[in-house]
Amino acid sequence: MSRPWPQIGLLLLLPLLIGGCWDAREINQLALVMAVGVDQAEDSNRFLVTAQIARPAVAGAGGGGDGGGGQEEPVFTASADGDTLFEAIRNLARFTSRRIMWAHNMVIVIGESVAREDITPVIDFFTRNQELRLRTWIVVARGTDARSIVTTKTGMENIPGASIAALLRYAELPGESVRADVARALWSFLASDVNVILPAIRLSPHLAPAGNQEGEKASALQAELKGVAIFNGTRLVGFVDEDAARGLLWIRGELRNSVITLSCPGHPARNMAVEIRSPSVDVTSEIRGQRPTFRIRVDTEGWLNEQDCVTEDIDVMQLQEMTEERFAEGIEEDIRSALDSVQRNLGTDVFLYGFRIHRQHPQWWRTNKDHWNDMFPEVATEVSVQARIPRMGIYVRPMNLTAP
Amino acid sequence: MPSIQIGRFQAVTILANLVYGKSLGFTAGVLARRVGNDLWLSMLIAFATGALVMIATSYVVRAFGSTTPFEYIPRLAGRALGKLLLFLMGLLFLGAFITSGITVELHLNDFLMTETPLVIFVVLYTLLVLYGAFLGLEVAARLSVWGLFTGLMLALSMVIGTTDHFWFDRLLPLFDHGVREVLLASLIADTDVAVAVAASLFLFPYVHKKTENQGKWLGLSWLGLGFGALQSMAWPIFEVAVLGPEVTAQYLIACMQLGRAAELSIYVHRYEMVMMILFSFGVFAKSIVLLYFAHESIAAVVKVERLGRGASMTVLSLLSLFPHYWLVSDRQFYSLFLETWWPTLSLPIAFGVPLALAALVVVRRLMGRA
Amino acid sequence: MDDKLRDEIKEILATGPIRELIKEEIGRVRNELAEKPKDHAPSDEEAPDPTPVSSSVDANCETLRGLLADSTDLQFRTFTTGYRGRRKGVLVYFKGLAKGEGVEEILEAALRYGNPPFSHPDVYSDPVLDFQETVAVVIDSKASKSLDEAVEAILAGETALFLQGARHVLLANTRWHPGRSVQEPSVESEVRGPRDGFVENIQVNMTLIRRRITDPRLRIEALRIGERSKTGVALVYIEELADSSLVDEARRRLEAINTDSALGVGYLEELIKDTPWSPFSILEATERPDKFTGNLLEGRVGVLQDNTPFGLIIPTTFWQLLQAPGDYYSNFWVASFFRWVRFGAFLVALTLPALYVILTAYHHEMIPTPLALSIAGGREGTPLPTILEVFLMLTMFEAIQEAGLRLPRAVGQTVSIVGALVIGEAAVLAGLIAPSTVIVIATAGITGFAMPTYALSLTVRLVRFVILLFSGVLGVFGFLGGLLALFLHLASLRSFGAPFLAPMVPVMVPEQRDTLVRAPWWLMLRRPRLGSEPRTVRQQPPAPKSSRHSDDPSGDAP
Repeated sequence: MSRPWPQIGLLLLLPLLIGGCWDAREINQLALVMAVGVDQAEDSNRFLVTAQIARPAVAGAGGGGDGGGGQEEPVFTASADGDTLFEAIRNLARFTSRRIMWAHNMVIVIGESVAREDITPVIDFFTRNQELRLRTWIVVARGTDARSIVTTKTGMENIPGASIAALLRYAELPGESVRADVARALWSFLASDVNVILPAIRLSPHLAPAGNQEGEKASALQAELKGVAIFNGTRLVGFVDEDAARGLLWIRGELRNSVITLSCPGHPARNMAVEIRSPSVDVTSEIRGQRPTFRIRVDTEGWLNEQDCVTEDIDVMQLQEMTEERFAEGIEEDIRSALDSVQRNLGTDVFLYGFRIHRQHPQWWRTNKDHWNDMFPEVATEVSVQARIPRMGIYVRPMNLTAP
Repeated sequence: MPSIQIGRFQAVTILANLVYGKSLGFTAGVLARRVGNDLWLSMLIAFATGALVMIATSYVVRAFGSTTPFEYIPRLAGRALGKLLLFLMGLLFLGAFITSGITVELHLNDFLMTETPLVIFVVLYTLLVLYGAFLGLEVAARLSVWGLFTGLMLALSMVIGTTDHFWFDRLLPLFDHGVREVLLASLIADTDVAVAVAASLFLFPYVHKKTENQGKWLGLSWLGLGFGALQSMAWPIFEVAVLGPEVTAQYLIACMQLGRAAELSIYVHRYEMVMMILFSFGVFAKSIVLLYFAHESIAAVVKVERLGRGASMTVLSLLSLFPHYWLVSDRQFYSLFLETWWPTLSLPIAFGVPLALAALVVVRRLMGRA
Repeated sequence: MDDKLRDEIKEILATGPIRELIKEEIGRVRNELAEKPKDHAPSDEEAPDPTPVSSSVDANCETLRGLLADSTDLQFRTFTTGYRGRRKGVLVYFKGLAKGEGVEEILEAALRYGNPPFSHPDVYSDPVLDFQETVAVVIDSKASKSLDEAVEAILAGETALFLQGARHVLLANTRWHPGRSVQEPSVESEVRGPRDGFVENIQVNMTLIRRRITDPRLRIEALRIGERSKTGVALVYIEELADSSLVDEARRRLEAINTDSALGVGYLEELIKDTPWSPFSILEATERPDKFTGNLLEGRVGVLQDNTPFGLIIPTTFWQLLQAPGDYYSNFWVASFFRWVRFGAFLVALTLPALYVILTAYHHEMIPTPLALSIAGGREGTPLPTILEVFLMLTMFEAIQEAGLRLPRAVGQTVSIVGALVIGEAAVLAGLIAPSTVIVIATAGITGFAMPTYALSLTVRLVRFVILLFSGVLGVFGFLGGLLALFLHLASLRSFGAPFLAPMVPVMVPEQRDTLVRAPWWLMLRRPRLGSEPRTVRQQPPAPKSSRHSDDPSGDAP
């Protein structure tokens, strides 16, 4: 017949475990870190870690703001130093009343000084730890320390960390910086044929509404996504900006959307804005006598979204033709400027050239991979751009005062 | 004629679950450390090898119909050698049970419950599996249907959660580390497939038979391996293409890293717990079947009928706690064990015994005809 | 001839015309002699009766008094009838159990009764048998030779008629069941579908089923269960549809029951189920005749029991417990959708409290950040750990439900007000309980009632405590272990041989049309399969429907 003993045995086991609950931690006894900054402490080799911790009572209270802490800040920011990151974080516990939990951390900010020195500790610590997620954003503070980025309140979010994360999530729209999470950074860091690039964030003066609360807001600084931080191996070697940054994205094939400014036909001082849509990039390599050459083929569409001048002497087909030409030139200029600033000035392969040639010419790569870093600044690149403008907003003729 | 009968589809799901679990948990990392981005090729080759050896096992199964290996192995190979073979098989299944258990335990202990002592996981896992094995093969078969379903769900949700970061170029170039190295590495992945191959020998005699079913064992085995590949193969491919081989190589449990990199929209931004829940049923089913067969094989050699099945199974699983805990307590050692010792120990048994049996059957047939 | 017989002859000589009586006696003796060899053969099914009906009325009355003792409601009504009022008769019945009119009817008939006829010596001339065939033919009755049987019948509300000189007793069916008329089922109410439900009277319940299945192959076998209660139990099935081995097994298990009493189907269920230790009810009890009949038509076996408005369905699978009869009355898209809602509700009711605990006390990383912050904000300052909080609230919820069941209807309102307002609202306002906990408990509570089978709902409410405790102690591992043990347990259950989780595991693909979804009726051409028997044809595919909205104007042509 049936034997209930296994079931009963399992049930009897339960009381033995009541003394357990090893991992149980009440959510309201945790310090949920929203953003973390890593700096080099002044005058020493120690790390200074700044953690931005949410105050759930304020941050999580939704609409009921007057329920006890109306004026309180939604976050609590603490800094501590230590010889290692781990020690610094443990030191944080000296004055945070709760156990620090990293699982909800949204962004890691690396101070420029740390990045210029070596990013290994940051990459190591945050990927060795099982609490941090691999999709945490990681950025470099540009021209400032991470601490001031972390403590700066930006945008419309309640929690500063969330606003930096939002900046990065929508980094595609301006198209002048990259999106980088820990997983991508770790891979770029570990892979032998790739170098790390990270988005850069700097502080810039906030443009306050005219005449409104001048004293306070006009001087307030705000975090701004600005350029790409270029690494060579483990060290930061420089930044690229605007056109060069966009060119870098073109070469890497990571551009999704951006705006390019062209000069108006017949009015060189006036501008037109073209939005880059559905770009596609094909990068091929060729070995010519032991020297690799790269060919970048861009095929993209653009939408003419703004024309700041009156063009009375051309019809729409002419306008399209002229714009497409300028558009293609603009893209090529961007790419050239990226090639200039990265290849000539910084000399580190962040174009994924090594990655591509490894896949396209594995034999060649096997023999030459050790010299690749020396070879890279000399590598020649050919650029060809196919650009079409199939749409000019909802207009169907140029901005003319009279009909042609 | 065994009294237990399980359906054909259930047998397929058992085979599919037998190759699941460790293959995507640990083996991917081990392979990544050896052959980098070719790890998925190694795993694919392992499945193909397994499918080839399955020809031998299904030949043996066809020759003996519903006679269990516990009866025919001593008849075929002689009493002493037969007992030795059965005992070795039992040890193989026990070892595979332990490694599959460690898969779940380390997933939990490394990522979700870091403070809980490992011994708790080891003991509770063994007890749960013991309960399942005690209920028998039929119940395990039913669990494995559910396990296959959750395994496929897991693979599907992982694919959905990571396609944004899928970068096909990282899978290339093929055979970057050389064909020879990839083939050698596939032996490590073979350990997972081989256990399923060996277990199919023990499983099929219990499969519910209909006349039209005779001689379709090979089809069933391949279907089982196919389902196993379906729920396992997405992982190595995505580990390489989403994380990159270098990252995969860095971690002991690479699949959890992939799970942690998956985002099912920004709302389910963490995925480990979902993954753990969906992942475990298949591994539990695997462990239960393996413990069951380990017990049956060893009990066929060491005569312990007087104890009764439940008691001897309890004794066996309690004994297994020691090597189990010993292996799991040092992760670096365990990783080394998986890379070197385990393939050397398990492959000769798991592939060797079925092949030897098939050879014996062939020899017998030839002698009988002559 | 023994003394007893001689006494009887003397008595008969004293009461009736001698020739008539001699004839009667001869007939009786002849009969007795003819039956004699039968009595001696022990192999025969009728064992020698320890308490035969005596031909003396007074002796019978004495025996009955002895057996039934002095009950105030036991009535003996003595009268005389027959030729010159010489034949003595007694009616025995229980006052409350037997219907008054029925007793009067049989008394009237008895008074009109004359004597057994002379002219047909071949006619069996026991007066009771003769009476039954002549005057009393309008009365629902049967004759018996055993006093034990008479006692049983009297206890069941029948009226026993003894006539002097008869070796039989007439048992007239005057049973009277105080009880409800057919009403709408109270537990399993259904929006679309018949409004009738089983009542306590087994006869009425059988009628409800016969009305639905006008088929000569509908079999209703009667059994009696309970040493003392002697409860009437009916085994209902449809010949040819129900697997005969299943019917035999059900009959065997029911007959094997050896108990004092069985007051409800729950007794039977626990006594015949395959796995007596399981918390799951693996035989479904329903109070809906339509559901009961539907199951009979799918080849299952039903058990009805007297004094219980529930029928048992054998075998039952887990998925059946999540199917409502309404599924079959509404559109199949809607029915399938709500079936999925119920699956979801089952999972939520079972796991939500446990999931909440493992999320807020163990695996906070899983919660989306804004939600984590608001949960943490709500829990700010609450004194209890989550597991305790959930456990207490869940217990409280069950207590409120129990109280709601027990309270008189007039004060029932109080419970809901006190339960919902005071405990929910006040506890949150006072900062004792986090608002998220209240939401979780309420959701789990409501989904617990979405189950169409009350027994399943009860089991879920019990099992979720176990999973909650496991999860509270061991986080996701406890949760997993709880679910796994539950699954293994469910997978190991069998209901009369049918795997409890069938047709999901083991997988039976054709059965999915009435499990995962409710396929339209015109696709369910075959009956579902319970075990290994072949699938029988339920219906033929429907004829193609001609278009009624054709634009063909030929109809209007002159």
